[in-house]
Amino acid sequence: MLFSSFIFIFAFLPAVLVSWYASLYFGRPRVAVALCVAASLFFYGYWNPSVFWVLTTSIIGNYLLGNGIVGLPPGRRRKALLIAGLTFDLGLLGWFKYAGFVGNLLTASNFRDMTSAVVNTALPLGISFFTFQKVAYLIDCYRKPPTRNYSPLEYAFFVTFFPQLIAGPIVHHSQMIPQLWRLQGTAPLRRAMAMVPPALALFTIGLAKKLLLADSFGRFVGNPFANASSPAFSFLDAWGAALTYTMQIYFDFSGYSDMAIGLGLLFGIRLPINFFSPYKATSIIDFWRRWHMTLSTFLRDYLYFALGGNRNGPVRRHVNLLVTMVLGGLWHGPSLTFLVWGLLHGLYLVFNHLWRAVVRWRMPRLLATVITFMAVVIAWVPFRAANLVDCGRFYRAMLGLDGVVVPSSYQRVVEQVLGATPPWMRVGDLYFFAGAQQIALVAIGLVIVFALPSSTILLQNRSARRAIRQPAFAAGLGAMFWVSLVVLFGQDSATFLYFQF
Amino acid sequence: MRRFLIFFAFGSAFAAAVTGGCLTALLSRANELVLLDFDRLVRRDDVLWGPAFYQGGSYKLIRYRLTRPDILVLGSSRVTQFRDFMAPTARLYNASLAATSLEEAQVFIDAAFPRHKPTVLLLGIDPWWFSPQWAEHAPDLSLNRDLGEEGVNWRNIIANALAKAVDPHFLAALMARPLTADSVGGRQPVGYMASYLASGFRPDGSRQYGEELIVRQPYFDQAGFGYANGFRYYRDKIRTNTDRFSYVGPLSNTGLAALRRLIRTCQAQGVEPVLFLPPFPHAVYQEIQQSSTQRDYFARLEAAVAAVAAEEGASSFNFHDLAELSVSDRQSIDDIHVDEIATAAAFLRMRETSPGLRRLVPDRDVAGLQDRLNRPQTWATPNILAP
Repeated sequence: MLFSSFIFIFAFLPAVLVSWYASLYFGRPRVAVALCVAASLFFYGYWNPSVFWVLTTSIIGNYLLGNGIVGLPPGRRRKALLIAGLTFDLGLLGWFKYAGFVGNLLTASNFRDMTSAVVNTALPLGISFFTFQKVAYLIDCYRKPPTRNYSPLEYAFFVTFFPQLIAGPIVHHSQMIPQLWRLQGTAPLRRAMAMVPPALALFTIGLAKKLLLADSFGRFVGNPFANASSPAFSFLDAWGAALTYTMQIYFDFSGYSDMAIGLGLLFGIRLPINFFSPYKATSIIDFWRRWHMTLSTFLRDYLYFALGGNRNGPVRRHVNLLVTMVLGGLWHGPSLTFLVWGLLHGLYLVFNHLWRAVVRWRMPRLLATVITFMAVVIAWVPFRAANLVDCGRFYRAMLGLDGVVVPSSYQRVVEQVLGATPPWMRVGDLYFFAGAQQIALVAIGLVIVFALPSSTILLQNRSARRAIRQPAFAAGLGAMFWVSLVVLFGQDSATFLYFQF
Repeated sequence: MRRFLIFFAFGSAFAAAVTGGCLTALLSRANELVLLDFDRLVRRDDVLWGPAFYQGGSYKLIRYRLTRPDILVLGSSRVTQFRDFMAPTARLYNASLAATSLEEAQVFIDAAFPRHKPTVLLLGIDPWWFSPQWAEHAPDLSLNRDLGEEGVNWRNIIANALAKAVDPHFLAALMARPLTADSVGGRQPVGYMASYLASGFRPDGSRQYGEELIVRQPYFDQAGFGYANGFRYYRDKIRTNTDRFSYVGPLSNTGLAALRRLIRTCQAQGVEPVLFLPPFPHAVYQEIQQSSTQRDYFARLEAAVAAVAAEEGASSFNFHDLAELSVSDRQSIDDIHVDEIATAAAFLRMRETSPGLRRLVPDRDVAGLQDRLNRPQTWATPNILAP
């Protein structure tokens, strides 16, 4: 069940909301939580009931292991239990997500196949996300146990709460479970009601980002990435596709995050911000503080620090950074293309840290933003490419090593700008670039990305929350909601990109 | 909160009124709202069926059931020119475009045969059907999406209309051009394509290509389509292995198995399957032969189809090179579609050896068609035999 589906918006969500608020109204917060857990399990099982057991086994196993760790005195047995728990979680993730990948690496007959993603239809949805949540919980139980024991119901709610179950944000137990303790009395009901306008606003903005923007960009992305090996693939095809995908993944993931946070707020539950105008970043370090923020936090706290962080000198620090980013890349998918994406970002980060340490010059903000943005665009190519052969072909075309093909309709413009058609440019047909329509769409995307504030301002800024209550803004949101529904009506299905990770 | 919700609802209602009004106006202007009268129109034998926003799979199936043909033609846009007058003694229905892959052909006959079985199935097979990549793209081109539905799929119509509503070229055409009658056949136009471009399905399921052949659009010349432009558009595609000609490489075993299944389904129900590879203009086929990638793929494909047909006891015909039918490249609609004259020549060639066709198309019908082909002055247009 997708957030952007009629069954979710008009059946599932209203039913769960009514049960939640009715239970709170009658002073039964435990019933509210229990019904929400049941609904979330239904939401998960709706996708693929055959892997339902993975989620439930993982919840039961981790809850028992966590309690076991907390109950034991510091020592070997405690550590052994932690290792058993981590092996259980990472073993499940490894078996479902990476077994096929390793098999493919060993059996592939050529480089193209070896670097192609292995499609695993049996992969339990969201396993990468809920595994990380549970790993964090187990490690915290070992290092710094929660101040108050969690009940099985609270733990199940933390893992399964449907707005974040499939594609994050990766919620920390200490962010989620204490909110359940404050559900007693009528105050939470009033608090939650007060948050309905920003919640609805965030959900609507997210829905529009997904259906009106991300899916529009998506129409221009599939064809060029599928034909990168074609002899007709050229410079404009490659740059057009790379920029369009950059916009698609931004609006897709940003839209999903807005919807997830908005849905959480509808229940009076605050989910962490996951996305804060990342393309406005002025450095790669800044980018990773704005893009998939909960993943960055997890990788920093539970992987980078565990590897030693920056405690063992600059060389070790950079190696740790590279290892963290490569593993972060592989977390996105069982393919060497994701590994290369992670490696690229790791190298960017190392370079960024070295630059800061060595160069005293402060780069102008605009230049820093443009360079960061271009670096991110270049790194999205392996992220989206079917394999590394196609990725190489993409980079070759982006560098113009096969020349630059310009359609005859643009020839006059080129000649006006450059005086004459330069020798490295030739006039011909473009097969994977949609021309003016694609350029206009990317331009609109860039304006939205760079000129408008992040939608999460609604959570952080009181005056923004007041502004959305203005009649014109509320009516505008209503209109946006309806237009999104009309577009949704015309679609068969529209899956979020981040659901595959 | 209440104030916010009231204005939110007001905004939604206002947007609903605006989008609903615009959509209704667009569908009305495009002459697509006539589909509200679908049940009556689908039974009429004097309409040119050309809705732009409607997937036509269920239309073809309903027409097939109403026609109860002896000869059923099935395939893609490359078999649209078989006409009922080519077999005047028998009944012929052309379900072209109801199958853009072997899987879709199977879906169509599985839906069609339980109500009525033809004597002969003429199955036109496209080269790309045997590429594994085609199977991924075919659903996007499918007319069969609504095959299970007996009426109009309004969701499809609205989805397609919405996609077109943001296309400035379409909107400009809609605003600029007055409605035209079907100047060739004089049939009542149904839908945008028929009303504005004189294009659509005739009652026998064949397609009138008004846009290309009657009210020729300037963009055909710009793109380099057809005989007048030396078939430049698809010759470029062949040279660069793109578009329809990107589907090359090893033949899909799944495709060959699907072909066997189709043949066996027909034979089990007493229907004679006749397989044929529809023609390409000679110039296009020559271009194919000059590209080693394309030549190899076509050679493998032609041999494989012939072998499967022989093993399963079905007849098969390879018409890929139009010149082998002794027909000029002028008898083409565009680079990959041939016209009625070329199609009639292929039909007569198949009739020579197919037992079912020989029975259904007696010698006098053959002579009549041959006579018509020999007298171009009697043709309705240089590419259309009869209105």
